[in-house]
Amino acid sequence: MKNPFKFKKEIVNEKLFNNDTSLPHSQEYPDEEVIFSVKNFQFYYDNGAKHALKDINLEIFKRKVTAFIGPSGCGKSTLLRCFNRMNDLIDGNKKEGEILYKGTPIDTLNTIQLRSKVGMVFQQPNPFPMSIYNNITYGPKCQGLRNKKELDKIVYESLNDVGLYEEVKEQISHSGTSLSGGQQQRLCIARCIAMSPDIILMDEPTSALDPIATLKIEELIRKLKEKYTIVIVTHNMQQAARISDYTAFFMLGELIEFNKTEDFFAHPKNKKSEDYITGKFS
Amino acid sequence: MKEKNPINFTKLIERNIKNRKYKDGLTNGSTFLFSLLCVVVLCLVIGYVIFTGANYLTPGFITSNYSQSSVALRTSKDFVFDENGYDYSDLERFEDVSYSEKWGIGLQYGKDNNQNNVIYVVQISENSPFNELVRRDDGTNFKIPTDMYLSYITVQTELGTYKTAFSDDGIDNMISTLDSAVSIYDSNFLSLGGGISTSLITTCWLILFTLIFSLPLGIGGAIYLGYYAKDNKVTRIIRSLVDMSSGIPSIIFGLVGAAIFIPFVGSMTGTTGGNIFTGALTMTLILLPTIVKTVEESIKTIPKSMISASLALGASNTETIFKIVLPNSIDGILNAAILGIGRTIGESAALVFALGTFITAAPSFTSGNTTLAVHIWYILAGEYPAYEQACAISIMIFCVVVILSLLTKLINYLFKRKREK
Ligand SMILES: Nc1ncnc2c1ncn2[C@@H]1O[C@H](COP(=O)(O)OP(=O)(O)OP(=O)(O)O)[C@@H](O)[C@H]1O
Ligand SMILES: [Mg+2]
Repeated sequence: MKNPFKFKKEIVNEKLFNNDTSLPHSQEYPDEEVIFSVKNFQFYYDNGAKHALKDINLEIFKRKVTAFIGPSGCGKSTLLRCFNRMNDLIDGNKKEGEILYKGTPIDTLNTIQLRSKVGMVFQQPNPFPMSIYNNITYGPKCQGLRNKKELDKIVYESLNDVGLYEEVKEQISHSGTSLSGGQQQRLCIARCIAMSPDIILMDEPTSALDPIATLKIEELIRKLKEKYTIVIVTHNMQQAARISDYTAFFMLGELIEFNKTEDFFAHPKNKKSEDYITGKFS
Repeated sequence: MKEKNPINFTKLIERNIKNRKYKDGLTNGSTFLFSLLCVVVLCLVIGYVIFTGANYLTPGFITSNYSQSSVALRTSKDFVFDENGYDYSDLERFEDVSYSEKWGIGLQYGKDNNQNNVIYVVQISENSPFNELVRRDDGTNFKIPTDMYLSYITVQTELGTYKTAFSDDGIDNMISTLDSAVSIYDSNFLSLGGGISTSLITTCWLILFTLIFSLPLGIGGAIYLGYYAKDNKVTRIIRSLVDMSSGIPSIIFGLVGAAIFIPFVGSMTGTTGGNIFTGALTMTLILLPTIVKTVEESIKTIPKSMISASLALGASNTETIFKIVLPNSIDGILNAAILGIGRTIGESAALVFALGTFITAAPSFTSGNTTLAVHIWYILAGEYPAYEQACAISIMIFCVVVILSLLTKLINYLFKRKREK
């Protein structure tokens, strides 16, 4: 299954072996539909003092799970937060290059529009201190949805989708913070899909959870893939291998390798990826 | 390497233990002593105030005016006492009321605001000539008000002579004087006076307007500092200004209030001098730093993740502020309101200028007034300081403050319970 394009690339530039991400992956994977494409993207913190993302070129494919892996501090969360422009809130951030959402540069979109299409699930479950019902209707209500019947339907469907409905149907008016950690995280996912987003960004969604709750979330992600595009940051390589279709491996702010997950773990293209997978460094 | 001599801790500790015991005892003892002293002083202050003022804190004191009004009444000039007598059978008899059988009225002792005995006309028979008393000044009929006491009465006796009975001489004397009378030549009814009703109502109005002005401004400032402001030089300068201005003596704000707000409000409404609005604006200045800081602190305790979650769901800043930030800093807002109310009740120096020291007959929005605290200042500043009344007002202020803090606790509790549900 040799890609002629890739072949050509290697001839053109030997260095590309270390940086074979500079060309759009969609040409490597022509079957995939691109949702986000990141082009020559640089990101700096502290007014340019901290170069957190270096010349990233990457594409996120529709209805696929893309896992971001890499050692701590390599910029996974930073890139993730760039997709829904949460980094704009940080003082002294600076970016170059562009990220396109379905072909439109995200900086030209209204953040409210963008974020209602690009949901986010955080590392720590963070339900609002209000009822489960209000947690889920928070986003839709902010967009102006007032119809009680529709809201009820959204609450039911979202809870059902994350497999929480049976567990909490008796306590839908209780505070979201009264649930267990795993339930809270699923509530946060439900809150996110209540907006029917295109993409769900997840930053280590299971790192605060016990193994059983983690398995439930993983199962959920596999199910959600049918409807949504998911980008997940994880420290757990087994998790990446279990749930993702594509894997992006970062190091020191650079994208080292982007590959199909099976290929990435079976025969990584890059030496650094191989070292990372085999645990030579972490 | 040379091996170090190990320190013999057991010995060291033994040697030290006595010394440390003494030191510990000394610290503990002095801490205890100082806290005891504080408690004792506090108890003495509160005890003194309550002991001195409690007797004076009567419903009459709270509901009556500071100025005393009087009315002089007499029987009309053509009144002739009916020798056949009147039918007073409608008069219900009570144990503790003394009755004048001749005039058909019941008299009873009461207290004035200085805790002296005074006489009230508590019952009047339907057929009593007392119903037809007229004012000495304009001759119009006047119904004897229940909140006025009878300070003295001058009657014309059957012999044509005049006889006067004073309230101080007691009810029995008053009744025997009445029983010897054929007409009432003069009677003087006085309202209680010395009361605080106007100051109390003015204080309430002042609190209301102060909160209306200061809370929105203060919460706005707190949202700016706690939510929007970037951590840069300007923010730091604003913050330290806010900190500093909470230490400025209030009399300086009073000065600003008098120099700026009185002409400003005057130019808009045509008032001259201080009034409730200039007072409220001045109090707003005084309270703003406290409100901003209290609310900002409680905004700062809201987890960043909650705000991120809201923004990530596509909520705008305004929605995040109204749905997440404000509801979760409600305790700070309530605390700020309570602090503000407490400060408004207690403030005197600034309000002497900005509101005035005029204890009027009725609260007014357009002219000078006075609050309870300035009332205290006023009655203590005179030639005969009225400590008892001042203490009575202080008790009221204590009570209001205690009730307010209980109220915050209650509201906080209710909010917390609602949130947990
Ligand atoms: N708000 C910030 N201000 C300044 N520097 C930051 C900020 N957030 C992250 N960084 C820096 O940017 C780099 C990338 O951080 P990022 O959080 O994206 O790493 P990460 O890959 O998610 O790491 P981890 O796996 O530990 O979560 C790190 O060196 C970090 O110190
Ligand atoms: Mg991270």
